[in-house]
Amino acid sequence: MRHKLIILLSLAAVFLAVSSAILVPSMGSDLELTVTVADDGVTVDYLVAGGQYRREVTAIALEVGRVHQGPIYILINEGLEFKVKVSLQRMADHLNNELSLLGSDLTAAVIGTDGLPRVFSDHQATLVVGPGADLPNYYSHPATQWIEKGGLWVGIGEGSAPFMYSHDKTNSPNATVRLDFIHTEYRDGEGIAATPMAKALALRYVAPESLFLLSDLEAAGGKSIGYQFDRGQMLGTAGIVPMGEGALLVFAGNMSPPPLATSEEVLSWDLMRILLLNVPWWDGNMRYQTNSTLGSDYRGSFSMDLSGSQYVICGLMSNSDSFNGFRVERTAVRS
Amino acid sequence: MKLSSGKFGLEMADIRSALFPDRRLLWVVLIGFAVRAALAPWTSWTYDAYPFYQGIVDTLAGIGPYGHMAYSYPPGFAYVALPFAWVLSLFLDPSLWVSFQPSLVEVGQITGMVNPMVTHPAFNLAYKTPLMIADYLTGVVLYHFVSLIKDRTAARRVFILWFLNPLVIFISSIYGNFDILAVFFSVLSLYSMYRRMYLSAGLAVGLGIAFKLFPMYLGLFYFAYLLGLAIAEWRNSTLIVPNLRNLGSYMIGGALGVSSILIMIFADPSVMVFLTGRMGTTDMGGINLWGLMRNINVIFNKGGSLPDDTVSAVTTVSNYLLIAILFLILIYVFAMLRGGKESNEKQLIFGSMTVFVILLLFQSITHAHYLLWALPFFLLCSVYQERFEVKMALLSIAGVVFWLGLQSYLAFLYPLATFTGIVPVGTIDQTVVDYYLSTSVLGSEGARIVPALMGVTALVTALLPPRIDPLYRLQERLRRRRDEA
Repeated sequence: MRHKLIILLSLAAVFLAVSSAILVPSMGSDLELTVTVADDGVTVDYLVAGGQYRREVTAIALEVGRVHQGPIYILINEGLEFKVKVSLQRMADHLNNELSLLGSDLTAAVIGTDGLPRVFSDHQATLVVGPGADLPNYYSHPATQWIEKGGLWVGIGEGSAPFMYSHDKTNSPNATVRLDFIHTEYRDGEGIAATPMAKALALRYVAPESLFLLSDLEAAGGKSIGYQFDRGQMLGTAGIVPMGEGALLVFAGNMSPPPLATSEEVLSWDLMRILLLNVPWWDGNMRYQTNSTLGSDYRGSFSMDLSGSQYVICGLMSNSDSFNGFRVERTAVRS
Repeated sequence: MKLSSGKFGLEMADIRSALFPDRRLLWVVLIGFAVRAALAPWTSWTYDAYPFYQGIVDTLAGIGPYGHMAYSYPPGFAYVALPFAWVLSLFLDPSLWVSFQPSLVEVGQITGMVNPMVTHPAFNLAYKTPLMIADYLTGVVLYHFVSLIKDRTAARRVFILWFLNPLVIFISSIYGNFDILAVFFSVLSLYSMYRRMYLSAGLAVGLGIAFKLFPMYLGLFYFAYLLGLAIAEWRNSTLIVPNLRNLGSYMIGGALGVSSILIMIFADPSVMVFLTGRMGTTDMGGINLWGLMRNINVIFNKGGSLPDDTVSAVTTVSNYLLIAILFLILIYVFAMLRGGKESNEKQLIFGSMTVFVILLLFQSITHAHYLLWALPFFLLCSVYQERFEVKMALLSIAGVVFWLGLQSYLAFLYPLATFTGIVPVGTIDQTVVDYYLSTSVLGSEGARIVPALMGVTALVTALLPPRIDPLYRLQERLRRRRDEA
């Protein structure tokens, strides 16, 4: 009995140990992407290898004005609610864990306000700021300057950028971008439509509680890339506002759950796709195809006219939980 | 040839008698499994089922259980559930294992305990199957254990109380959490300690930790016991080597048991984020002393949450819990070793129970399913002191009622509603929201007070000697009154 129990327990330990050794994260190699650029257009050829399970994959091509692939900083300052601080910390963990699984070498670091000078000195950097950060008014000018020279400011919800105000600018007299946030409900998805970019990227941040007015976004020169809620007035979940060389990427909401397990989980999913495909610098055409395959290989191809942007970004990405695959090609069109 | 087939037959008979030790329990086993199999597919707690789904599917996708960081436990369960999920994937594509229910978005925003992704009944059955098997195996170990301590009649009683226990059935088959896997190895570890099989004891504790971290506290207790024994008998030259060998065997076993975690950390150090994240939780309450404080706050201040400074203080206290438990373990071991060697085995059982009771009472959050950690140890103590049966019953009722009291019982029926339509999803949504927001005594807040009180009473009185246990005295008084009548 004594020996049998030891043998059984040892077998259990070996099973778990071998599982740990074998089931390590790995980048899939089941996607192939070939990009051919001609004078007037780009052709995207792709291959999705057949797998044991259904694989839904989107192939996308978009024209962008710039390639921006710098370090990601996530600001956690005193002004944030405790649960938002926790969510932002976990968002950094998500990004660091998952970016490598998408074949990217980008990393995310958490900083306090004392780290902002370092961020503002790197025009390839991305700064993520949470809802209610309410940075003091004096950050407005350096922040705007940094963005105009190339930085990417990712603001989540109200109070996430010192140069942005909602409803009134009493607390932020130097703010220049007005974006009113309105509380609304998901209502089972009624009156909600996905923008072409949201469909192309299969964005998951579908149900934040506090959304911004699309009319404000458009007045600031921005465009919606997320989901749009018709609630008497049109509201958005994600948008981009070009500012000089850089951009403001704004998300709605206050990082409270749901959807899915946590808000930061879906925000990270969306943010990674947006960053890796350079969506904040999208300034021309965009085309995508979504297909699925089970068992056999799938070959697809499409062409897109070029309208004169500096770069074309082509991506091939899995939308299926049971298939990890991501490829991206960044090609300069004009020197 | 004949000889070897005869030996094989004996081996098989051995295995059969180890796994199914008593024919008189056949109906209990059949009923227990039938109830579980009937409930498991159609029920789930969406908030927890989704991370399990994600962890398992991430593993199938080749990015390990932590690929999307939804699964945040030690890796054991993901690996054990994987073969069951793989078999399911031969019949049902993983893309169909979960369904997005738009109406659940707002319910989740209100209660914070509903996830709009509802898992498929077949997936529920697949991932709960190892849990049901562990329910049974834990019962089998308890049976063998009690047979050893007392007799087969007592063993049968304990098996029935375990395998048909509503809390045990509820956690594995309805709620669907995998605490039972760590509990199984914890009980096996105690059984091994009792039989002085120290390598097995270490292995079992280590394997338990590979599923959930709580068996670590039990592991420390056994380590302190073996170390204390070696120190106490240091002067006896014939016992020095055996005692050190026992301690070494235990430690080697423990290291082998947790090897899966060690390998995983070596392969991917970022995994530490999940493990430390689980230990540094900021939640507080449930069925423990802090939960009672919260309940008192509800009654007197009409508010659910405690002030931030109180939460902060509780978090600080519970962060030092490991040190406090270590200290208590040392005192306990000291008392054990002074008490005479012949009672050590019994003290091991009561000590194991004490470790979990202290942990449940003082850790920052004690979810109702955590009561399962202590349940088998209460059953083992009941073999020596009958009063533990009542406490076990109280814990079981408290656990189930507390869970049902969170969002009403209907919140567990989302898979049934989503995939069969027998109950409309909208009806469940409405009931859950109405119930959760109700301010009546039978609403969500009110319904948690009684089970929290019951659970804490059972836990606190378990630490008291029988002569000053008010619950036992009440029990005795009622018994005397009944006998007189």
